[in-house]
Amino acid sequence: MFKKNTQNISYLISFGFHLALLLIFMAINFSTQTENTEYITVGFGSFGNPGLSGAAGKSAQQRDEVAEIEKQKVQTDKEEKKVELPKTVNFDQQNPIPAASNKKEKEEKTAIEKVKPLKKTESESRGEEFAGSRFGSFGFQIDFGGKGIRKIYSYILPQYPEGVSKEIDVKLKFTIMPDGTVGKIFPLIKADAKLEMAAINSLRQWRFEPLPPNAKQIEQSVVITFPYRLK
Amino acid sequence: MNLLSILVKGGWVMLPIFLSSIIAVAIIIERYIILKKASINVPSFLIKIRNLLKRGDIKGAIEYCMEEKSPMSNIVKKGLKKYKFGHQRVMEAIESAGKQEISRLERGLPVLATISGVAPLLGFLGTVTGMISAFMKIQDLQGSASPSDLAGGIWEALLTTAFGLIVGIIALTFYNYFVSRVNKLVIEMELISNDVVDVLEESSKKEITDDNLEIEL
Repeated sequence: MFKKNTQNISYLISFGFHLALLLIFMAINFSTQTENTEYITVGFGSFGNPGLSGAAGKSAQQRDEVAEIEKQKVQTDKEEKKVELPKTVNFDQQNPIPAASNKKEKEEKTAIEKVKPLKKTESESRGEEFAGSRFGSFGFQIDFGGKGIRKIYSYILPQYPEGVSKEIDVKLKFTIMPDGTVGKIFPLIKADAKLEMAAINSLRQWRFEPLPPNAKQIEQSVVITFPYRLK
Repeated sequence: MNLLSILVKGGWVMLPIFLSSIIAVAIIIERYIILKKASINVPSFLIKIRNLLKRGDIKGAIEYCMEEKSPMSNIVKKGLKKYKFGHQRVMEAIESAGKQEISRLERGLPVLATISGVAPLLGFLGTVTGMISAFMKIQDLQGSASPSDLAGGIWEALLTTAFGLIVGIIALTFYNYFVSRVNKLVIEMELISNDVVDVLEESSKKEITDDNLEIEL
């Protein structure tokens, strides 16, 4: 009788204990938010977690190709945005002008010629480290600072402004917003206003990977150096 | 996100694990109460029984055993009740009573041992079913599954394993503890019954009055 009672009581206690445990579990709330460092490194996906979407996470040659495609796109966009001129009408039969279609073809040909081939030969690309595009007077060498990593999704390199013949490093500190856009930009080293402005204007258009939704949504600071070199 | 919603992500395998946890905790509570009550102060019990038997007060010894209400006193009582049939019957009665008491003390322990083995296996079953669902998802999405698509299966796999192991570890720990307690009680029972038999043999040399043999059977 006593043993039967003990058994029943113990089962009741066990059930109550589990019920109480479930209630406690219901009461315990916790977030899976990940902490981010405020001072981070930005990267093109050559380091950090592989397999991310976008330009990040691809090999150096692939990234070269992506940069080249983007450049081509920009150039073709420029070509497309040309103002359509009014068609000329020739009233003089003795002095004919070439047909408009021929002119268009010529223009297209020159546009294609301007675009460089996408793939380099193996001998050309050998020994080169990925450092972005090498066109123009801007040598793509960027120094990053920080602890965490934030990948770059899209970037536009600053063009060397006309009328300036200086070889300087423009060092900028900027913040990346949680959605991946560039926030405040502060120049750290004052050198040349035109070069600085060119760097700031291009940097403003950069896009970084957004912070994951479960991460703490904070602004992250980065220091970047644009070394302007004359050709 | 609360902890309960995470438990729910464990899937259907969490149910048998939860059920085995309820049974295991119930057995642990019951065995703890039973074994706590079964343990007595062996030296004082022995002294009192010895004194009574040396005086030839078998009736008093049986009454004292009935007051004590422990497995040891039950064994001695059953042995003493057969006193008038001779020493051989007393020994047999003590042996059979001892076996009965041991089986009562060990009741529920095989179930606890089973739970300690089965709960982690249920956890591993959850791991397998979780992985199966994750791989089915990969196949359904034709390889373009993102980590969030696989998260459900991985949650199931990890949670069932974790809770299966927790239940298994607790059940195994208490099983070993109770087995050691039962072994200790069995040793004490053997000690007391041997002592009682020795005292009875010594006292049998003395003359026993008819009053002493008036035992309620």
